[in-house]
Amino acid sequence: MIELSHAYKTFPGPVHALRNVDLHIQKGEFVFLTGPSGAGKTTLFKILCGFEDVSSGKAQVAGFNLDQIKSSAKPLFRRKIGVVFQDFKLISDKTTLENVVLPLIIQGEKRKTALEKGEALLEKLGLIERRNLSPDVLSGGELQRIAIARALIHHPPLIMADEPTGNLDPERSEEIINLLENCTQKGTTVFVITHDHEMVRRRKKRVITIKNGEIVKDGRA
Amino acid sequence: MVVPKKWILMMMTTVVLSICMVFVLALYLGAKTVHQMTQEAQRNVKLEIFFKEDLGDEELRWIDSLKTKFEIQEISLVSKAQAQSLFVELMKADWGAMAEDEQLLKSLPSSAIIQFHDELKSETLNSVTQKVVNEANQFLNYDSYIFQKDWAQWLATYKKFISEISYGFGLFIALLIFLIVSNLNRSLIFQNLKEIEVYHLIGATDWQIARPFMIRAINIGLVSIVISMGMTVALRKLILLKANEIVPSEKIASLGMIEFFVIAALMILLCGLSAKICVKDQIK
Repeated sequence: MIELSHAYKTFPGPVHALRNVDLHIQKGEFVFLTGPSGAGKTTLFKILCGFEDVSSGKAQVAGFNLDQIKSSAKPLFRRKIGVVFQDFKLISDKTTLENVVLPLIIQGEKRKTALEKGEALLEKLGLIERRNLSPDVLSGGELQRIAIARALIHHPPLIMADEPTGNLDPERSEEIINLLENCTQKGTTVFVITHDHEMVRRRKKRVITIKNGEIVKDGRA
Repeated sequence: MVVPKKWILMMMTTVVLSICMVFVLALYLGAKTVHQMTQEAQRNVKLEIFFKEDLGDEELRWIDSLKTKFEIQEISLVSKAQAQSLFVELMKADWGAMAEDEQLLKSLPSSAIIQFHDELKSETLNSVTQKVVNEANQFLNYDSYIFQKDWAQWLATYKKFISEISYGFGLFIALLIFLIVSNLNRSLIFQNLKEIEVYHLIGATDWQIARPFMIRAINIGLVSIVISMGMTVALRKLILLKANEIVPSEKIASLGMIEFFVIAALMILLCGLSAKICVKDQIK
């Protein structure tokens, strides 16, 4: 699902954000990415989401060669992944339900069908009563679940989550990770950036540790 | 109730855009009026050369040769006898009296009325007239000549200048409309930056992102066109009421359906295009 080979990312300065990163993640895997602040986690996340390009090396994600991808093909790639952003990135002018069904609408699904699917997912996540509210009035945990719902709605083969449990209490964090873990049972690959070492230890999943732009550890917790 | 900022912005833009479009329509109608009046004046331009005596065979041949030499559509000859009978008829019609002054009747000239081609440009017309008069002067001992030119003919002289000014203003206003709509779009985009970012990040194409902004701009363009159309009709009626003595009302041009749709389509295209460019710029 994810193949990085000798990937480098250098910003003007020069700042070497990633150095010689080799990464292989299979379909249906659940992977945590950890590391100190400024280690290159976000850069790696952005490259895997197609928001940044590699400076050199090869990057293949969900069947797309990101080192050679044309800008016109990037929207198609982004539709193949579900992204949970640290700051949720929900639209205040739209209701919760409208936010959730956005990827379906963008992919050309009929509005009525999309709304039905959105309602079914919100029902599953226990948020159906919040469907007509603006994200502005929801709690942190609810916003996180809405963001995850939006990432799941179009059944992408890969879900990328940046600190999905940040600022949540342990109970809510567990709930969120359970939700993401359930996705792997259907063959979805889940890639999660986290600082929560305690949770990483408990889950016993594959953990990649990055430091100074290099992968320093890759194995089970 | 608080009106959202973007609605206020859109309403203000619609008003300013309507005023701009009124200018565009007024300029177009003005230019069309000048064009129509010039054409009409061109059709009515006649050169009348007067002679003391009736023309002989040689003079008649010369008159005939003018047709081939210059761009002349028609030459009508009026003999002294015809001029006299016309004068008598006019006297009768105007004063109900018979013209009794024998001396006056005898002194009436014969004439050649020269009608030029309709499509002749004003400058050409002037130079052709001068050439004909010069030739007449060399060949015949003519008495005098009248070159009929009313104020509309004066317009014809400055038609090119008037057209250039109109086109210049038209382009300037079109640019102004483009800038106004761009400014509105930039403000709307600025207010919806997060929305654009989210759409972009979850896989929307540039077209999908630009579409709502384009639809909004086109709607504003449509509303402005309708308002400006109403304002232009009202303005035209006001001009007809006030200016009837200077310019006859039938000479002031009106806007045809096809012209209206072409101008409206261009304006709407301008609005949509400006939105597309702004959003594309923002996405980059």
